[in-house]
Amino acid sequence: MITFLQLVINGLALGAAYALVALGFVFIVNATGAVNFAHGDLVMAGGYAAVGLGSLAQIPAVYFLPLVAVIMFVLGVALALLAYFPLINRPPSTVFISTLLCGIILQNAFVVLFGPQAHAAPPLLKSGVAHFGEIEISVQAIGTMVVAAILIASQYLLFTRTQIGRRLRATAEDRQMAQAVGIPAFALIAATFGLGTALAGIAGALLANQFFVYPTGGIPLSVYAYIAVVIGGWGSIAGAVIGAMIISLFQVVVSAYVSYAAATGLLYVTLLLIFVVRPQGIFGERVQRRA
Amino acid sequence: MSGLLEIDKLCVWYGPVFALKDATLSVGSGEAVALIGANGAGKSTLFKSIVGFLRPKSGALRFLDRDVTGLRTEQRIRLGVGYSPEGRRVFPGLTVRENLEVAVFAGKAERARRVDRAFSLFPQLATRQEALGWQLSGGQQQMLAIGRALMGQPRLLLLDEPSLGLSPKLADEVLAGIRGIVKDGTSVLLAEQNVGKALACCDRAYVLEVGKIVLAGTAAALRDTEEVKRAFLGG
Amino acid sequence: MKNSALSTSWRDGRQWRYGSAVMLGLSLVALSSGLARSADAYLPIVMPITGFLSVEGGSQRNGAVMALEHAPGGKTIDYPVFDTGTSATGAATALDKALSNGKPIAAAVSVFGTEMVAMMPVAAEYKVPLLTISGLAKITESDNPYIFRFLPNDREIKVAHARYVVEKLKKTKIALISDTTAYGQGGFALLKEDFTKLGVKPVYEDSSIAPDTKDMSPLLAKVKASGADAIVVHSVAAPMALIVKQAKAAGITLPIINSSSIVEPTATALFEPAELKDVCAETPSAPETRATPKIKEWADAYKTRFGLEPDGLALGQYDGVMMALTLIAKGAKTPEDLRAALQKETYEGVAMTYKSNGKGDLSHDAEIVCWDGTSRIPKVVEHYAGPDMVLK
Ligand SMILES: Nc1ncnc2c1ncn2[C@@H]1O[C@H](COP(=O)(O)OP(=O)(O)OP(=O)(O)O)[C@@H](O)[C@H]1O
Ligand SMILES: [Mg+2]
Repeated sequence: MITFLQLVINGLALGAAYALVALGFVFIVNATGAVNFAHGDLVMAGGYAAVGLGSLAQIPAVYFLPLVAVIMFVLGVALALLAYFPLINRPPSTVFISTLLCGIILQNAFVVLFGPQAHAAPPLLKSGVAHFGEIEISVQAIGTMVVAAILIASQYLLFTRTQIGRRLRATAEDRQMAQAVGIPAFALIAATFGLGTALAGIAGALLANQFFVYPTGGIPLSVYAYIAVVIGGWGSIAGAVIGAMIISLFQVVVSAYVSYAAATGLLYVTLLLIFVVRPQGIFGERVQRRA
Repeated sequence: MSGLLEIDKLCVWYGPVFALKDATLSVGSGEAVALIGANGAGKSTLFKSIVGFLRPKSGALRFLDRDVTGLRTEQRIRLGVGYSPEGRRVFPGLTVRENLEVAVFAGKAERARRVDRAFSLFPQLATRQEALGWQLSGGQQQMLAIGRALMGQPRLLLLDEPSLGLSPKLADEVLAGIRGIVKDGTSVLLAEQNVGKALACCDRAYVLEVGKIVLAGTAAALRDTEEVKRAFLGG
Repeated sequence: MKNSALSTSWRDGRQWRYGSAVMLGLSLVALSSGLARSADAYLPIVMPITGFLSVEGGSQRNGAVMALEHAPGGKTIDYPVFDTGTSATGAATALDKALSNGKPIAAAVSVFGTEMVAMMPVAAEYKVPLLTISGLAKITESDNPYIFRFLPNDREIKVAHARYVVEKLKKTKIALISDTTAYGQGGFALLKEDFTKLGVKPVYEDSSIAPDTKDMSPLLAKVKASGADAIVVHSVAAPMALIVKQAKAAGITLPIINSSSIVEPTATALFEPAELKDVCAETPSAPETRATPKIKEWADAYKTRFGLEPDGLALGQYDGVMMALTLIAKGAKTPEDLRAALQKETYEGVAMTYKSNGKGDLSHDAEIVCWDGTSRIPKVVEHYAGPDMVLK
C-alpha cells in the first residue's frame, strides 16, 4: 500500500513535469493554432541554458530561472521568424514540418555546444528528499509541482480573464479578422512563440536536474506534449494537464505491475479507446463551426 | 464636403484577371454611401483593399488625408475604420461579450461602456452575452459583426452585405440602424445587392459593374435612372 | 549464436541517441590535408571527429596523436586526420581516401563497430593493418587479418562483469537490468549466458527499459519485491545514471554493478560523490584512477597535453599506435612487415601487456572499479586478464 501510494506520488510528480512541458505547447496552439514540433527540443534548450548558467554561478536554479525564461523568449521569437511567419499562409502541415526541422537543427546545435553526453542542471532550491510519514518525495519534484501549478493557473487566467488572452485566442481563430478589428496579430504571434518557448525553457530547467538533458531528449517530450493535448482536448489547458497525468501514471504506476513495454502498450491502447469514445478528447473541443 | 475616404483609380488584380479597374470614389464625413453591384462586380474586393487584405496594383487610397497603402490592416483599423465583412466572420470560440471586447482599445471602464452600447443597439445580443460565436443564429452573428466593427468608434464603417442570409424583416431592421449610426458620427459605406433598400437608407451611391464604376450620384437621382431601374429594380 | 547476433560494440548502442541528426555527421572533411611530406612513415587517423560519437572519437584521436607525437627511434610520422562523420559510408570513403593519399604503413581507426564493419573490406583491398579499439566482437571473428584490437571485446568483458558479482561479491540473487538499445540488449544476452554458466539464475530480469525512461521507481519497486541482493545494469549512460540516483534516493543500499558507460568522466559528472557509494563498473582500463605509476605518469601527460581527463579509449588507442610505432622503429618497413609483427610480438604498454590471440585481439584485460562515496574517481578493485575472461 505504501509502495502504491509512493508510486502514485511519483507519478503525479512526473506528471507535473510533463504538464509543464505540455503547457507551452498548448500556449502556442491556443494563440496561433500552430503545432510546434520543436517544442521538446526547446525544452532541452531551456535545460541546457540552466546547465550553462549553473556552471557560471553555483547557485540554485530559482535565481536564474527568470533569465532562462528571457533567453528562451528570444529563441522563441527567432523560431517564429524562421519557421512560422514565412509559412503563415501555407497549410498547417508545412509549419509542422518546418518546426520539426528547426528541432533537428537545435539537436545538432546541442551536440556542437554541449557534446552528446547527458548533463544535469542545478536543483531549483536544493537537492534531497522530504519525508511525509513513510512517503518520500524529492524537493525538486515538489518545486516542479509548485511551479507547474502557478504557471498552469496563470495561463488559464491569462487566456480567459485578460484582454491580451482574448486577443490571442481571436488571433488563433482568424488571424486576418483579428487584424481587421485592430489587433496587431503578427506582434502577438511573435510574442506567443516567445512566451510558449519561455514556458518550455522553464520546464526544461526543472527537468534537467532530475532527468538530465541530452541532445535527443526532447523528441519523446514533443510526442508526450502532443499526446497530452490530443487526449485532453485540443487547446484545453485542463485537458493537457489531465493528459500529462495519464501518460505519467502509465509510466510510473502501471509499469510497476507489468513490464515497461507492456505499460507503454497499454497507454496507447487507452489512447485509442479515448479516441473511439471521445474523439474530441476528454475536455472536448469547445469551438465548432456551425454545420 | 471633406473627403474621409478618397479612392482614386484603384486597380486590383487576382492573378491575371482584374477585379477592380480605375475605381474612383469617396466617402465624406456624416454620410452613408451605397455600393451597388451584382454578384462578382467587385464590391467585396474594394472593401478588402480598403482594410488591407488585398494589395492594389495601382491607384491611391487615402483615409483622413493620409496615404494608407503602406499600412498594415490593424493600423488602418486603428486610424478609424470599422469593418463588418461579408460572411460575418465572428470569432467562433469567443463569447458574444468577448467578441466585442477584443475590438476595444481603451481602458476597462470604457470597454464596458462600449460593450453596453452595442447591447443597447442590438438588444438580442444582450440576452446571449455568454453564448459562443458559433452558437448564434445567422442574424445574431450579423449583429455581432456590426457591433464589433463599431467597438473602435470608427470614423468610417464598412458594411459588406449585412442583409445577406437575413429574413427580409431582419434585413430591414439592420439597414434601418444605419441612419442611427451615421447620426452618431460614423460614416458608412454599404455594399448591397438589394438596391432598393440600399438607396433608401443612403445619401449617395456608386454602381459597380465588372470592376468598374459605371454610375455615381445621389440616392434620389439614381433611383430614377433608367439603367438602375432596368438592372436592379426590375422595372 | 544468438549472442553474436546481438552483441555489439560497447559503444555502438549510443547511436540511437543521435541517429536522427545526421546533418553534421555527413561532413566528410579531412581535417588536415594528407599532402605527402618528407616523413619516415604515413599513418593516417580515420575516426568519428564530428557526428554523434564525437566525444569517443575525440578521445581515441587524442590517444593516437599523443603516441604519434612521440614516435620512438627518432622517426617522424605523417598522420593526417580524416573524419568519418560517425557513419558507415563516411568511414569507408574516408579510409579509401586516407589510404590512397600516400603510402600507408597502417591506419588508426574508429571506435564505432558499424564503421569498422564498413572499413574492413577497404583495409583488405589495400592490405594495410587497422589499429582499433572497437569492442564489436565480430570484427575479429571474420578472418580479416588486418584488424588489430587493443581493447577487450564485449564477450570477454562481460565475463569479468559477471564473475566479479558472483565470485567476489558472492551475490546469487541478482537483478539483471538493461535498456532497449542494441548496446543494452547485446550486453543483457551475454550477461545472462555468463550468469547461467556460473550457476546463477537472476531473481529479476528486465531488458525493457526504454532509454528515455524518467521515473525508475516502478523498476526499483519490482527489484525490491524480488528479494535481489545485487543490481547488475548494462545500459547507456542516462538511464543507468537515473537508476543509480533514484535507487540511492529511495534508500536502496544494494550494490549496483554497471557496464562501463558510467565510468566516463562525463557520466560521473552527473552524480554527487555520495550517490556513487557501493557502485561498481567494469571497464577495459581506467587511466583516471592512476592505479600504477606508469598509468599516472601517462594520465598526467595526457591531461597536460589536451586539458582533459583521459579515459580508457584514449589509453587503449595510445597503446595500440605506440605498439605499431615501436615495431616500425624496430624495422617493420612495409604494411606486411607490420602486420606480421603485430600478429606475433608481445608489447608492454602503459595499461597492460598486449599479445595477439591469433585473431587480432591483443587486449585481454579488464578492470572492475568501485566508488567509495567520497569522490567521483573510482578505485580499481579487481583485475581480469586472458583466460579469466573466458567461461566454458
Ligand atoms: N480570391 C480570389 N481569387 C480570384 N478571383 C477572385 C477572388 N476573389 C474574388 N474574385 C473574383 O473577383 C471578382 C469580384 O469579386 P468580389 O467578391 O469583389 O465581388 P462582389 O461584388 O463582392 O460579389 P458578391 O455580391 O457575390 O459578394 C469576381 O469575378 C470574383 O470571381
Ligand atoms: Mg461580396
